[in-house]
Amino acid sequence: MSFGEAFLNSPDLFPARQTGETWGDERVVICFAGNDYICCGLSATQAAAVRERFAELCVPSPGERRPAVEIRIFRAADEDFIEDERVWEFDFDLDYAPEAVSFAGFRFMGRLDWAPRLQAALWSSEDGRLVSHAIFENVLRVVVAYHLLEQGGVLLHSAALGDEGGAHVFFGPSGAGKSTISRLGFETGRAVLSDDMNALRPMADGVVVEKLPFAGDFGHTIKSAGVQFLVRDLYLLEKGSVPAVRSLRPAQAVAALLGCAPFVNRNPYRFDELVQKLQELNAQLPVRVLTFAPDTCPWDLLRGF
Amino acid sequence: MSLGPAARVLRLIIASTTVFRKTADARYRNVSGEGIVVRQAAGEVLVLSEVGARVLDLIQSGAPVGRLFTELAAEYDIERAILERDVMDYLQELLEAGIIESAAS
Repeated sequence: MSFGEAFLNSPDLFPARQTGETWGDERVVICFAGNDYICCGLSATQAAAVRERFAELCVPSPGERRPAVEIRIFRAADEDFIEDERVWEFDFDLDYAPEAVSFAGFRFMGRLDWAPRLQAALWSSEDGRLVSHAIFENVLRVVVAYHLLEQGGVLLHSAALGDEGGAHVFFGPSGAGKSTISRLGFETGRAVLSDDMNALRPMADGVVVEKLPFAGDFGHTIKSAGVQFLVRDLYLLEKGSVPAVRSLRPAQAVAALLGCAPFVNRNPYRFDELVQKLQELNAQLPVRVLTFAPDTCPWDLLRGF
Repeated sequence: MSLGPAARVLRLIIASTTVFRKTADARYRNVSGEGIVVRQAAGEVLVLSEVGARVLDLIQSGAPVGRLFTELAAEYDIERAILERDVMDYLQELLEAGIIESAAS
């Protein structure tokens, strides 16, 4: 199926520009990973839902020196979307162009343009379900992925656990054991930033990992905003019967990271840029493979590193 | 019984003058001498060996198959007949994986 055909009645009428009728005049600013995400054009219902969902991450106004991305919410007609027997669907289509990425899903469509500056638009027919049914969050994840890339960082499918020495970051596809290792780490007194997605950004004194509002089955144990850790090490998770740690060659490491960098890794127009960033990340924090069995304690193995 | 896509690819006659190119779906980059290939539609990431990356580098430069043999023979200490056979096998693998296609197509 082509882009949008599973969701839109007229995919060829997908908006070419970020225009339309907004849902309302409400604005909510969400701050995390050193950035502001300014959500405007919301209805009162939508704004209340966003504030409830993102709670302590909402700030009264954008910071003067913080990078910001605007996400505008527009109305779409019910007739724009396919009506069928599906009650709901959380997967969505992505389509790539040199200057933008488009997305189409259940009851929404959106686009993220990066020229002249990074800016997003979301069209939906949903007022009350914009947040509760993950429409807004799905779009926000895509926006965050590209915003981080602009800053030299990466959004990584990963678990990040912090203690006084810094953070261990464990990445891998679904089922690799991110939630399991998060639970094991929590049981040994470590803070869980997220067991699903984390932002890694290069800073002057190293790579930092920051709490994002996206969590998987285990969730996160740090409730306050703005928490960041210096990353001590970066592991590719692998399940096995014999606990072990081993090195990877650069191409293997970059390939593994690429597989876990969602929303950007399949964009052919950003491929070279993403691979370059991942090479730089691996040069700073050489990726190792951690093989662990769920009934063993990986921290004993990592203590020697 | 109809022939599937893989079987049709195997029928491509590779001559020394054949020129290949990377397919539009595949993205490639040389990382520290090895190759990373992403097949966009399938969402698949592959790692090519040093030799595999060199083959793809030469293909990207527009070299016909004959020049692949010549360049690699100068770089690797291997009997020419074995090298040509191995390279041909590898080109077929790249074709079947959808990473390269004939530049004439």
